[in-house]
Amino acid sequence: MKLARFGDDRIGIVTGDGIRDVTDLLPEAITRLRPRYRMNAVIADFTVLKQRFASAEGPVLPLEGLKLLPPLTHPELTLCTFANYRQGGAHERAMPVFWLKPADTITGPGATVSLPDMDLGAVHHEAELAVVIGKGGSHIPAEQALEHVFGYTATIDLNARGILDDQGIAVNAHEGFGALGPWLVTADEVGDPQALRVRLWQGETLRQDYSAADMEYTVAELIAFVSTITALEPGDVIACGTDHRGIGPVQHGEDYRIEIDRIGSFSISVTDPRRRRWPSVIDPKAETALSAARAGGLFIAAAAFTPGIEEKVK
Amino acid sequence: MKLALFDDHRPGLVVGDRIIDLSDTVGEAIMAELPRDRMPEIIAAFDRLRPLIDARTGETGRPLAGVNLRAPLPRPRKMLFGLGNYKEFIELPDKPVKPINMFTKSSRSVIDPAGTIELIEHDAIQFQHEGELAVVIGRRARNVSPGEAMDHVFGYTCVVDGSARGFRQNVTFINKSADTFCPMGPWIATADEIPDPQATHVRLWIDGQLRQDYPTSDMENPVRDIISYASHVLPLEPGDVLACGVNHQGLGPLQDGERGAIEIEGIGQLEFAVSDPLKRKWPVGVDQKIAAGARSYRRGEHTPPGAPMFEARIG
Repeated sequence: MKLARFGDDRIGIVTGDGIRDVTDLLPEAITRLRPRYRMNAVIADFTVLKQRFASAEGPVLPLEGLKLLPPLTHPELTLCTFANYRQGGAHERAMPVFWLKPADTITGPGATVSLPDMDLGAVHHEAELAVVIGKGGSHIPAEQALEHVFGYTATIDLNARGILDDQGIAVNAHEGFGALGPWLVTADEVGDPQALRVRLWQGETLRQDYSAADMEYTVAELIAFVSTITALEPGDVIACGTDHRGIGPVQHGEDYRIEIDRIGSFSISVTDPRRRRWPSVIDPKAETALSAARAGGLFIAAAAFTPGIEEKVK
Repeated sequence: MKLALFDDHRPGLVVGDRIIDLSDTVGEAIMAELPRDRMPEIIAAFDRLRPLIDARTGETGRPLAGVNLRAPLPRPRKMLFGLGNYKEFIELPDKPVKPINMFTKSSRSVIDPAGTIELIEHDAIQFQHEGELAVVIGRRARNVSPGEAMDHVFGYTCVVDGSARGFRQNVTFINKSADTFCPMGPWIATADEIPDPQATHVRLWIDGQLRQDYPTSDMENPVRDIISYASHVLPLEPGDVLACGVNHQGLGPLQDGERGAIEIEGIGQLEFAVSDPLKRKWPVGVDQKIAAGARSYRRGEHTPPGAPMFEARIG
């Protein structure tokens, strides 16, 4: 089943080329919640709601013309896994590293993201598979971890490079830096998450194209690890990291589209109050920077990336 | 004015050693909110509520000792914590101010006053206490200047930024955001109680031994600059928590069975306990290695490669 948020904070089931609105089927215990808690509550009660949604009748609204919203507006916990793809070559598997992303960063399909009006090296797109927790728990064994998955969604995780030692809110916490969508797809429709292919295009140009089979820590292992640090709850999001070999700058006037098999596709566009220009290509230094970070360098250092070509706003 | 949550997350006005139940004063709509949203909603409605709360100051209430205090913000919408941001008692008039940097700490890490920090089983070199002044946002702030920033402060509270040391990075999820790693409280002191947040003082004790003892005048980027900076990254909302960073002179290990307390002048004292399922042992007391390392860093000196940054385990 595919669960979407759309229009004026409605919840619907995606069927073919349309959405069936199921908002009115939600129990009062959920509709009286603030909008930011509703999808999390739907996820928590899904075993009950699933039947109700599946047998829903009523018109199917054509997708074209609907405004899709981020499927989760306010995840309680959004974690982004750092450098979780093997990318060939031999290296020792180190402990996974996660960065928290505040919910204020979340945006959805069709969003226009404004680059921060701050000095920075570049802002990179990272196309990622994101797993959404369905059943909470702590110290979840990896062998049972997929039973805790509600479903999956796609994310374009944006991160600024070359700013403040490459850590902290200036890197990953700007509004719009966490685009989620186009909807949530339940685990039964996705099957093996490691078999998915993730792609991202800038305009018509394919930049990122990699298989989730290359993850250093599988989805199940990521869930198991995180649950040793915090008790997971329904609606928590873990973005599984990206293959850095296709990442590149996002910039004014360009569009970026992510697509993941069996999940779907969505785009965002970018504006920049400073009208900075970067070479519109895969960052040639991305792989070197990742290797440096893996070798024990503190972070992906500013100097490792192609600097912007500043153009003053007229 | 000191505003608390207590027992079943009902709001209270703290006057001396008594607490006055404010449930009726804040009204049904706010009491119908989830516990986590009650204080943010009180803050958002504070212009209207303040005179009503003021009018109850003279009531007797009941003894504070007889209630269970809760974290005033049990799960803030966001918590942004400063990295470093103190001068480590070293004045360097010619050194440019190091710009503030902040990281996101999980709201799920917050625990109530008298709660217990439960160390995680991961093999950290050490788990440390960072007692800090925290700002509670009162009015939405987006791209505010330092000059405007203080108008967006609701008040202040105490936090302990529990920190796991020695993983690949310093401020990632495992370092800062384990469940229970953020004692908060005992309540919020409204901004008028601390007219100058750069003129208060932070102290933290472990088992009665004074460890952290620093004035907020030592802060490198003051509160107004912290708020301005954060508001240029993302919108700040009523009830968001911004911690001001820490002076590293006085940090030390947290270990099983200890009891700690943080006190900030103008706010009050918050107690906490520590438990460790693995009963690991570190030397008890201030960690002089991180203290010396932070002083060197402040002076711009390079620490010799391979030099240990923290005291190691002894058992």
